[in-house]
Parts: sequence; structure tokens; C-alpha cells
Amino acid sequence: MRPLLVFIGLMVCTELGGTIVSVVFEVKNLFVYNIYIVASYFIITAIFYQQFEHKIIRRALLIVACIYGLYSVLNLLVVQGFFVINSFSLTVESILIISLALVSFAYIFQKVDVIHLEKYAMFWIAAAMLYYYASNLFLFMFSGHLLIANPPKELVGYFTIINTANNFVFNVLLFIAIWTGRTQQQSIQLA
Amino acid sequence: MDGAYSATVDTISIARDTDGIDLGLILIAGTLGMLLLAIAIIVFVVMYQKRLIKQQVKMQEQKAVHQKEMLQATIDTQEKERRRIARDLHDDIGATLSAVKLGMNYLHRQLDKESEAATYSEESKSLLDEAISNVRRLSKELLPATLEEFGLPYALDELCRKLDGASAMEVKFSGDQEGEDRFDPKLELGLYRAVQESINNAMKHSEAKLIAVELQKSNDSLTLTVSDDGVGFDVEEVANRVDKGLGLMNIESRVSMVESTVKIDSSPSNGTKVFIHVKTD
Repeated sequence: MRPLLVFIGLMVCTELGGTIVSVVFEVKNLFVYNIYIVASYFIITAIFYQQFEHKIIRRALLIVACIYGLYSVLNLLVVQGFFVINSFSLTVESILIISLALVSFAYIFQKVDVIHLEKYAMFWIAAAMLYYYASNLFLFMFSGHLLIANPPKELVGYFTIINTANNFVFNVLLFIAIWTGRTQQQSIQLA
Repeated sequence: MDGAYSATVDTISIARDTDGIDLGLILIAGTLGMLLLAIAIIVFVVMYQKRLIKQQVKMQEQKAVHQKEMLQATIDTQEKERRRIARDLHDDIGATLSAVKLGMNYLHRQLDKESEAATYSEESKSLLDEAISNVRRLSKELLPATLEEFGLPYALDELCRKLDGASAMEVKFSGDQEGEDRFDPKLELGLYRAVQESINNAMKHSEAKLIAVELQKSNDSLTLTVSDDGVGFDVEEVANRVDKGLGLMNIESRVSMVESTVKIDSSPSNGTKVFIHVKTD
């Protein structure tokens, strides 16, 4: 549960940091989100790492994380830079996390050792990640049309609504994950 | 409703006007994608539950098979031990007692018939006779030789005759004893033990005057009925009890080992009927 709490902490810090940088210092805050993109991937990998018991899967997770880390740092420093949204890293991150969530589902399905799926935190985490990053990919594709000089207000409105709805669903799913994880831990302690 | 429809049409047309790309289509595709994702997760949950149930059923089956194997092993060991004890009783103790009896007979003949020693010798001889017959009875109970040599109907008939003579209750056997039909030895022994246990139960608890054992054969099945005219009992109540009763459990386990079914028909003050049915083909 600790990596999940760290992830939520990171989300909160990013939002606060982005707002402070933008409002207080009146500087472009995109670099905060670029750092978040890289950091979030490592924390999410850590969350899934705990679930998998197979050494091969764990090793693969570490290798992919290293490669992704190198790629996204290079992208941040050399290719896209700090003050433009790192779309390449974000796309790769979304695809990797969707894959991780799918592997997690397959893993749960193969092991069949969870009797009450609705009380299993990893199921909710995988569902949250799959939903959020798949919708992110879609939004990202959609947002390309917002980068024109004067995007139509309706379009911006739709984008905002969908984005807010996705964030809401994501946070609800994460809340359920924390809740179920907490009760799971309590029942383990009782046992 | 109309307003909502026109708003949707406006949106799509605005999206089209933006840069010539069909944004409305993207929006619909994206929404559908999200819906599909949600559906996929629901499908996953349903499939998982099905798989879980399947696995649990499989595990229960494995557990049942394992328990059956354990029970079979226990029964086999029990039967082996019974055989060993029966043989020891018959060949060792029985033979020794017979030798002692011969000696006693010889000694008795040497004694003066009117003497006190002759009286003691006579008493000892009768005690010895009793011991010999008890050893024989025990040996036969432990290892029903008739069952092995002649088959189930003869063995059951012998069992009933023996019990009929030994107790105040009347124990009767009826059934087809003709024919050379022999079944699998394990089946015969299992059914014999189940009947033995049923009669024991009736003798212990029923307060009956008559216990009847009936054997019915057909081409492909065999039905054994053990009935009594005793006090009976509430089958459901006894079956739901935690301590179900060793007797009933023994009957059930014996019968389940030989792929047979048992049905107990009883109610207070209406006697008890135990039906054991087995397919023989």
C-alpha cells in the first residue's frame, strides 16, 4: 500500500507545485508535469512490482523501468525540453502502464487465489490505471486539436469535462483500492 | 429531447468546421472506447468468478477423492487387521485351547468321578468349551469365512441365524440364495459390513422384537433391506446432529466405498428401514 500512498502524494504535490509555480512565480509550469510523468511511472511500476511474485516478470519490470527512465530523461533534456509537455514520454508511459494493468489482470486471472475480487486492492489499482491511462491516450489524441491558435470553446469545454470525469473516476478507483487495501491488511493482521 | 439532439448535431458540425477532421467521430470513438474498457473490466470480473467457481468445484472434487482414498485405505487396513486377529485367534489361541481341552479330557478320565477334583475338572472343561466357542465366534465375526467361500446371501443368512440364537430379538433373513452369482469381493465385504452395522444399530437402539434382512437381486442391481419394528428415530434430526452417530456414519462410509447408495426411512415409533442399493452391471 505504501507505493500507492506515495503515488497519491506525488499527484497532490504536482498539482500544488504546478499551481504555485504558475500563480506565485508566474512561470510556465509544464516542467513540473514533465517531472511527474517520469516519477509517476516509477512509482506505478513499484506498485505492480509488489504484486508479481515471478522473478522473470519482476526482472522485466526493472529492465523496462530503466529503459523508460533513460528514454524519458533524454527526452526531457535533449528532445522536447522542460517547458513543452513531454508527449513522447507520456504516450510511452500510457502504453506501458496499460500493458502493466493488463498483465496484472492476466496474473490475477491465472492465479485464481482471490475469493472476493471486489475486496482485492490490486484489482482496483489495475482497473484505475487501465481506465485512466487508456482515456489519457484518447484525450491526448483529442488534445492535438486544441493546440491550434484559437480552439473553439465547445471543444475546450468537452475536453475539460472528459478530463475532469476521467480524473474523478481514477481517484474514486484509487480510493476504493486504498480502502480495500486497508481492510485487507486488517484481516491479515487478524489472521 | 429535441434540444439535446440539436446540441449534439451542432457539436459535431463545430468539430467538423475546426480543421476538416471529423472530431465528432473521434469523440464517439473515444466514448465507445471508454465504454468498452468498462465492459472489459466487468467481463473480466464475471469470467474470473466463473473460473473461481470452477476451480473451487475442482478442488472440492479432489478433496472428496482424497477423502475417499483415505477412507478406503483405513477400511482396507481395518480389514487386514481383522483378518490377522481372526487368524491368530483361530490358529493360535483356538488351537492352544483345543490342545488344553484334550489334556483336560485326559485328566478328567483319570480322576475319580465322585471326587472334588473331578467336579472342578468338569467346571473347567465347560469353561474351556465356552472359551473355545467364543474364540470361534469372534474369529468368524472378524473374518466371515462363509462370505469368502459361498458369497453374500449365505454369509448374511449365517449372520442372522447366529444373532437370532444369541439374542432375545428375532433376526430373520430372506432372499435368493440360489445361483452362483458372486460379486466383487470388496463389494460383498462392504455390503456385509453395512448390514452387520445396521443390525448392530437396531440391536443397540431400536428395542425391536424383529429384525428382518432382505436381499433382492435383479439383472443389474442388488437391494438389501434391513428393517425393524422398533422405536424408530427422526432421521433429519440425527443427520443434522454434529455427532451424527458412529453407526450411521459407518454404514454411509462402507456403502460409499462400494459405489452404493443408502437410504434410511424411519420416524419415531414407526420402526426403521435401511435400504442399500447397488448397481451390479
